[in-house]
Amino acid sequence: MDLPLVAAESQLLDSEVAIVLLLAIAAVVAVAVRRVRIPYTVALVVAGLGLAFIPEGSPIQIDISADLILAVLVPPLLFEATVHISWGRLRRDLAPVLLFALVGTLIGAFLVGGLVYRFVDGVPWAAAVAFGALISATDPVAVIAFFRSIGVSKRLTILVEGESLFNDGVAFVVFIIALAAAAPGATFSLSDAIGQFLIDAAGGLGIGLVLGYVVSSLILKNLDDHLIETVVTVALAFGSYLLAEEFGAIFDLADVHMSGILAVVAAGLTVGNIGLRNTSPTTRLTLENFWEFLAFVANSLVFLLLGLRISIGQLWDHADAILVAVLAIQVTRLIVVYGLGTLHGLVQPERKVPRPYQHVMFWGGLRGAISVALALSLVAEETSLGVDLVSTLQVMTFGVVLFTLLVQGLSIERLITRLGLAAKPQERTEQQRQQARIYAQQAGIDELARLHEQGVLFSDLYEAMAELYRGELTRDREELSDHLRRHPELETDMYLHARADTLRAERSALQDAARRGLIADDVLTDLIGEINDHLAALEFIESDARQGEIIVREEPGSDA
Amino acid sequence: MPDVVCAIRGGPGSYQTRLVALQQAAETGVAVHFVSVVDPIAYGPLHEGEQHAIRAEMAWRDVALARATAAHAELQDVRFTVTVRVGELAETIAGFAREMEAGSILIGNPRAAADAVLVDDAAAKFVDGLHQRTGLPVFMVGSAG
Repeated sequence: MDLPLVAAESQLLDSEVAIVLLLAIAAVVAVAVRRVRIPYTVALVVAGLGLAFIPEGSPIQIDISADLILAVLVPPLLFEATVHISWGRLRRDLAPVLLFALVGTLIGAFLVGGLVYRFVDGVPWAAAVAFGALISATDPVAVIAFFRSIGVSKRLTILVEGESLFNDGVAFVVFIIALAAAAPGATFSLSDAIGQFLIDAAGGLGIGLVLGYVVSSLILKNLDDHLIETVVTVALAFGSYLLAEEFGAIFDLADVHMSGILAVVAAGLTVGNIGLRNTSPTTRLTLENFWEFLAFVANSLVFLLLGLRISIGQLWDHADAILVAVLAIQVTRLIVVYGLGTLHGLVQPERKVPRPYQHVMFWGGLRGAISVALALSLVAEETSLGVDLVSTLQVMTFGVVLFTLLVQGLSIERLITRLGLAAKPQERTEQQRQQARIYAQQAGIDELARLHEQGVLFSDLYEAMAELYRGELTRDREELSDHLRRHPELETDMYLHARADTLRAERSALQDAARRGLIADDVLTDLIGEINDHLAALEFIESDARQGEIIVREEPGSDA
Repeated sequence: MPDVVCAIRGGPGSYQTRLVALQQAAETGVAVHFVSVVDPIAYGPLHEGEQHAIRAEMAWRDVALARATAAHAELQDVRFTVTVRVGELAETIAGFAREMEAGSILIGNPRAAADAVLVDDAAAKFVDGLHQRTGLPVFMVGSAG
């Protein structure tokens, strides 16, 4: 009688062994990547390729259902990516972001699908569109890592991140519709598809917004426990995905489906912009670290699992199909970025996306974890697609991801630098290095004083050590002053950082005062709101100033 | 002698613009009127509180950086004012210069910024346009690099 249970336990144990092995590989890759200057996702793809050599039946092989891949691995990737996006910044560029994400993804799905259908043998129209949809989801992880290291403007960052977040949701909805249309005997109606698309998108966003708001304003605001708050965000990320995806089943509405991806995006944005404002610095730090960890694990597993699904031989056998797919996504991206970019510039000239930004958006449109996760969710037994077709689509996905990460991912930094968009020249890095040393030395001096006050450190020894520290500190401060005298243009940047820091300190002091009962809640809300407005103003000023020394509205259609 | 109006935007090249304005004022014994202009279109999606905060923060920044620049150049005795205005750029600078009864206008070179959106021709046209509106000499500080 216990046999089924024993079998289930054994299967669970096998899965655990496989996951532990995959995590160990991910850790090795992460360590190795520190020594070579390539993005982690690129290294993961290479490691995934290495896994393709592992023979069938090894303990690392793991069978995960399509639903599990999407429900377990996708929410952390999206939640982590959205939670730190500033709504204030996103709102200013919402028009181009939505244009690229919505129209661009639709164009991408059908254009790539059309080219694949035309030039790759054995791929039916609906399956080709499903591939076009899954491969249209851009992944900014590798590009954003470069943006941060070389100091690209926040506006370009938000354009790339924003497009990626929303196009994930759109790609997923189109992917699901196309897969349904691919089923034998299925009939396709454009009006039904548009209706389903709107319900999916609006329903998903609605669920995410409502749950995100409830968690932010009821739980994160009134609770001050970083562990419970972290658990609540976990429940929110996975729960909003599941509620949206299973809405029809839960409420006995068989035909109703809502986008889990858009639900997570909306929930993440709400928590990041409302919930985190109401939490303590400890909670924010815990949440940041926890979600970074979870996204790291999900990202690693997605790439390594795909590596396990395909072999080098398959890549070679499908080289022509991969070539078609790579060319198709490049042609499509070209049309989407420059075509929609120009269109947007005509409609909203004051927020036109500058041409150099468009170059970066074109070449920086890498494909990654979401495309791979969607490809992995194609399981022959669970879809109407045959084993060979599923294999072809997965190999094409891996080929495209491989190309974009290795070729585009490794050359994007050079492009950004050549376009003059990198804002961290040598002197700025040097300034940060000197500031960091002063900051660290000051912390050392403070710690010495604390030890001395506590009687742990003998007075003479304290004086001797403090004297040494003070000497180093004075020397480093003089070096920084000299550096700023040589590069006075750095002081604007320094000013903005210092001002933002002082405003954050003011906010913390107010929160502390409220916790101690010195000021009422409504006073706190007002004052925190004012400080948040000033912090948002600094971001506005920073991005505004980087547009040029004077403001000039470009003439519509100019190519500046 | 009439004062100098200096239009700044707080970008990486603005130190040089402020410095030249302060030096010019020191040499001729006049005051500098720094003006930062916000394009109202950029305000589109911002609420009143945010707009107010932007103007306040710009004023803070301009006062702090002008004082720091004056201190670096040992020009603490130069008189200066800081103003933040909202409006179309050329129109607003010209209006401000007339209001201050300025003798000249200094602006920074937009090509000096990392994300420059202006080509040299457009910058020259802007200078020319400002001169046409005010009849004052307009100087652009900083090379295009």
